[in-house]
Amino acid sequence: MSIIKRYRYIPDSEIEAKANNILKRMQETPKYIPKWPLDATRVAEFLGLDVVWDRIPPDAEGQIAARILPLEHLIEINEDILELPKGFEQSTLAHELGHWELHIDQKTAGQFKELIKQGGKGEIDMQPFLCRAVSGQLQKMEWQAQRFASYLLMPHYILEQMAAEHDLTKWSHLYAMQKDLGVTITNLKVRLRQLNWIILPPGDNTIDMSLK
Amino acid sequence: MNQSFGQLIREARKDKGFSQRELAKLIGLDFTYLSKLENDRADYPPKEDVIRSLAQHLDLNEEELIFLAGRIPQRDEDFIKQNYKGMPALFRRMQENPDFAKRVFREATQPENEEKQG
Repeated sequence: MSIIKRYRYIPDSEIEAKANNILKRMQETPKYIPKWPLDATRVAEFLGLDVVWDRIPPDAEGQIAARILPLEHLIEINEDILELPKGFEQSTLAHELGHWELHIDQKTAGQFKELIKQGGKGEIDMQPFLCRAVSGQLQKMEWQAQRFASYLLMPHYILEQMAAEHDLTKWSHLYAMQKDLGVTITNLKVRLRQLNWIILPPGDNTIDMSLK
Repeated sequence: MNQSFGQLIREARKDKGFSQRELAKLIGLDFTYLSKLENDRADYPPKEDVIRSLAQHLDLNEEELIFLAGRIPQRDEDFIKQNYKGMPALFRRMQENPDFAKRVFREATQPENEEKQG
């Protein structure tokens, strides 16, 4: 038995629907009505997860940005990421939420928790779910989690509202949107390109066209 | 089971609908430190005035929260200093004899309970 699900292809539409479903449920819960920029710690708590900012020492394979302790329902975020550009922290936390929703078998985690209560600790693999640069199937899981983060922090309906008030061909407007969304400019560019709302030729910082 | 300091303030914060950042800002704390406090991972307990401020914002009992954090309110600290010779024996006896400890606590809180009931 493993707490981590085996990799499977998850269509983008399914990932987006999962993120939207969480936002919708939060919208229906007065204490958790989402506001932008979205505070991902509130989403975590809505999902029953606690968050701690702490030192996560690197291991033999290098730096660890964050990790999930499924049995404790806890996400640990490496404090060091606060030194990175603003927006990175929300993206990292939302990414972890993507793993929680897409890749952690929450039912099995609950069963394991019960087993531990009964003293059956020996047979359980309690390794935390680590987040870092990886390859192979795990890399695909990282990609899925990143997509989830993108949908959660920049849902279509919020982007539509913002796009109506901004000129997507102007960098100054994109930076204003980035600030309002609390994400990195890279996060925003990737999301807008995915929507085909902007086209950015590789290596060119000129925004060629806005389809909005 | 009794809650730890961290669990108590975390639950109270959630009940109030504050995010970690919102509460930390109100108290004048770093939100990463608050997150450690909530998870009983902080290297040191907060100062008394911080605990009092936490209690006020979370509608918790200030004195109880100070003790739960492992600190002694300044007022009681002075009393302990004045009676420092008897304190080790008192604490030892209370630890060794739970019935005695219960009796002490009962008698110590009786006037408060009567006030609450009255």
